[in-house]
Order: sequence, then structure tokens, then C-alpha cells
Amino acid sequence: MKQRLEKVGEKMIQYVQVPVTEVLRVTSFVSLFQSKLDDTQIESVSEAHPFWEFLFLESGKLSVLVDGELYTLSPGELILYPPHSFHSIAASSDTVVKIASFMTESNLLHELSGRILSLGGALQEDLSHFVALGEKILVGYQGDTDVRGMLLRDYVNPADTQRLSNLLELFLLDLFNTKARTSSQNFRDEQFSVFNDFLKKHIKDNLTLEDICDGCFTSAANLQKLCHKQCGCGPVTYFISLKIGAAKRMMKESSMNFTQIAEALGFSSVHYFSKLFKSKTGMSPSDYAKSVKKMR
Amino acid sequence: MIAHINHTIPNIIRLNSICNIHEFSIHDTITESRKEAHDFWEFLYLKTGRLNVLVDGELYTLSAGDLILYPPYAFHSVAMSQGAVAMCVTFSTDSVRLHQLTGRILLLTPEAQQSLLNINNLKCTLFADVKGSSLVKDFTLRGMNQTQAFDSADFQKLTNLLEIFLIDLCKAEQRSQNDHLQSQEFAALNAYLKKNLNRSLSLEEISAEYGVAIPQLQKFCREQCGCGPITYFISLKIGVAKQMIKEGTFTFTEIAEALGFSSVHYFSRLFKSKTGMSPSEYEATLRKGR
Repeated sequence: MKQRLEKVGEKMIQYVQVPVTEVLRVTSFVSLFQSKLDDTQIESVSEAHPFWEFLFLESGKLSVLVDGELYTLSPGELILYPPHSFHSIAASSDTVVKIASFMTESNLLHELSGRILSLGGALQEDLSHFVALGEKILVGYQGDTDVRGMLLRDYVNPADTQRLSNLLELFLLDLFNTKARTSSQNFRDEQFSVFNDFLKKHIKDNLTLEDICDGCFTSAANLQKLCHKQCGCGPVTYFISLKIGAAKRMMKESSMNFTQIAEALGFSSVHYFSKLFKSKTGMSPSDYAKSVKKMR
Repeated sequence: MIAHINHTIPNIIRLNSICNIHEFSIHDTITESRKEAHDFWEFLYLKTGRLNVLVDGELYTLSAGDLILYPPYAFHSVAMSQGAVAMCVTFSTDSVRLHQLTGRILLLTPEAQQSLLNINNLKCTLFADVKGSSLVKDFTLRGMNQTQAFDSADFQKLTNLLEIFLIDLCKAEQRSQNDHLQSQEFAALNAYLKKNLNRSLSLEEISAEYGVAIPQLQKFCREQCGCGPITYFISLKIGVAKQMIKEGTFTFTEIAEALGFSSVHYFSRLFKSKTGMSPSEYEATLRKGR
């Protein structure tokens, strides 16, 4: 605590000042919008990016695959994932979602990732309020397909941008008081459950689509349809996503080196493992390992 | 490889530290209040009653709902209270934007008053006022102490809310400055039209003589009085016509002429369409009233 002394008249006055704490400071916005997912968007892209993102399900049905973990959201629920997560989404038609992506240096949010958060009425209102404000400030970029994100509208008062960021921080801090649940891996679809179990059992192997079909006693066409419907990507991508998730866990929790991890996950070489990891998460395994260590 | 656009958050109003947030009532019998100056910002918001505040020799009288902000090193004191309950907030910031809010009384909207209440409630869970205002003689300690329930995440929430409150205050002030500007513009238009009541003016003529483009003219006229310039001009004429009829020294023909109508018939028709009665019916109602 900083203390200051002022002399006023003959009286000494001591002022105690409490320095402001920044437990969570959003440094930049990438996007903030509400979107209705129609059939054409159901086949989503699998991607990873260097910023935080959350998805809130307003209505409809939505499954999100994050690093091999499949989260099925009910309306009113939210999932937050950290930078460099490999994710894809699968939604029924007429699904409405709110999406926000942003950058922050603080590690606090890691506590909230990997869980499904259920928002109360007041928090849902706060979210609607600031997404509506966000739409007054940011507008979707349409043009180059290699560039994503949003542009600032003309004549935006910078004070409004800070105001929006303050509101986002308040919302994120309030998320710590919500009820959380981990993803339940009891898939309603039995066939998908069989497929999922098969892949998890063979995480050490290098499987082709044919191998998977043989193992699950089904055709490639059927399997692809099923997998896309459940998690928004094909069976091989799903398998890779499982491996990425397993690799991240191993880096976090075990003392295995990259060669051992590559071997344990059935990669022909550590080079191939590194290349794949980087292409899916946007980060090399060693950079990832460093970022995880920094968190501790 | 996909590139993502991102926007760095600007720091328009960022607080460095908070010194105090507290609510207190000021006794009516106050004789000599504390006079002080310090190197941080302070604002005083009056919840109820009336209060005089002296800031650098300027006297401000606050009513319930008013706020006054003074910059660092402003020499200030409170005086003359009538049942005043005030909230005082002190903080330090490097933002220069706040200077535009100083030196005048700001009336808070109900929403802004509510958010101050929320800020004060949150503060009460995190901090307690420093007790023991005179530890030793002539030595005073002011500020807040953390309570056991202090939580740095909640403290950030408090700060964020306070920053939003100040941003909103700046925006409201900008808006009211715009309003003021527009009403000055409108006052000038009003004076011009009143000087030309004896003429029949078209929108084009008003625009050309007054020197403002038609769309702009229509916009600010509509904002101020909810109708276009011609309708406003006619309503001015009707008002004057009624005044002249009341005085009873002019015939309708004279009135029509004085107000630039091409004929008494046109004047009568327009009068009836706007007021619902003809000039003679209007005159009759006045006689009945006497």
C-alpha cells in the first residue's frame, strides 16, 4: 500500500491509497458477435488460433470438440478455450451462438477452461447487453478469406472500446461464480460411443480411415456422416484431435520427452509429430511446453 | 495460414489507485469544515439535501443527484448543508480526459446514480473506512482498509465499474454540450424567423438567407421542436395572429397582411386547419371568456 503525506495548514493528513489490481486484463479484441448457424456452416473448420475464445449457446444444439474432448452444450451454457486449442463445432440447424475472442496475458482463465459453465439469468443478460454493444463497435470483416476477425466501425469513440473491454472483464470475472460441469462422455449415440472407445483404445496406433471402419464394423461413408454430425469434423481429424489432447496432457503432467510422446501416440517420428502439432495448434510442442511451464 | 485482425484496447480512463469511497452525512450546523487539497482526483455526489462546495474560490450549490469533480490540487471545502448525504470518491489516474468534466455541476441520470450505489455496496464488502481520524494530535489518517473478505478479483470489478461510470459521465457531458450547441443554433434560427414574420418564406429562401443547408436545417429543427422549419414558421405566425386577435385592434385583413399572407382567405383557411377553428370563431371564444 502506498501512503502519502500532505500538509494542510498545521495538520498532517496521511492518505492511504490502494493500488488497483489487474487480475484479468483484456489486451485486445478479435471478435464479438451473435450468429445463427445454418446448415451451410454446420461443417465447420477445425482451427486453432493464438487467442482465447468462448462460445455461448443461445438456442439449439451444439457440440464443440476441443483437443479431443467433446463438449455437448445445452442452451444457457458456455465453453471457454485457451489459445492454441484445436477445435471444431457441430450444430443442428437454427442454432444461435454468441462468440467472443480476445487476448489476455493473465493465466487466471485457465481455471475455467475444459469445463462447461452454466450461466444464470443475470449473467446471460450481461452477455446479451455487451454483445449488442459490441455489434455497434465492431463489424465482421468480409473480403480476403485468409483474414478473419472484425473491423472497427467508422467514428467509434475509443472510450466505447475501453468501456466494452471493461464489461468483458467484468463478465469473465463473474464466470468464476458460475456452476461448472465437466464434459460427460456418455454419448447418446451408441455408434459414436463405439467409435470413440475404439479410437481411445488405439491412441498408440497409426490408424487409417479403413482401419477405423474395419474396427467399428461400418462403412467409411456412414462413419464420416456420423462423425461430422457429432463433432463437426471427419474421423481422421477427430483421431488427430484426440492425439493432440493426449500429447498436451502428457507435456503438462508427465516428464516424458517429445520423442517418447511421439512414440506413445504412434507417430512415425518426432519430426512428424512436431510438424502436425504445430499445424493444428499454431504452436510447436516446445513452445507449448514452455507456455504451460510459465503458468505454474 | 489465417491472419486474424485484432484491436488493442485503448486506455482512455484507467485508475492507478483508489484512495477512498465513502458515504457520509454532513451536519447542518457545520461551522468550519475541513479545507484541503491533495494530489489525486475527487468527486462528491449528493444523494439528498443541498450542499455548498467551494472549489478554488468558486462556489457551487449542489442539489440531490448532482455531482462535482475536482482535479488534483484543487483547494476545496464544503459549507452550508441542508440535510446533505453525500458520497465521496477519491482516486488517482493519469487520464487527462477527466479535465473536461471539472468546474461545473453534473446532474446524474438515474442509471448513473444506481451504478454509484452498486459501487458503494461492493466497496463495503471489500473495505472498511480507516478508523481513528486523529491518531495523534494534529495527525489524521484517511483512506480504506481491506476487510477479511477482500478479494483482488472483486477489487478489479470495483475499479472496472468506476472506470465505466467515469466514461459514461464524459459521454453524457459531450452529449449535453452538443445539445447546447444545437439549441444555440436553433435560437439563432428562431430569431431570424421572428424578424421575418411579415414575409412568406419558402424552405429554399430560409436556407439561402440563413446560410444553412436544407437537410441540416430540417434535422436540427426537427430535433428541437419535432417539426420542420416551415411548420415551425407557421406555428409562430399562428401564435402572433392569436395575440393580435386578442388585442382586438386589428382587422383580420390587417393581420393577414402583417403576417405575409397573400390574402385574408388563405390566412383564415390556414388558421382553421391548424387550430381547428376559424379566426372569427376564435375571436368569439375570447369574448365568451371575458
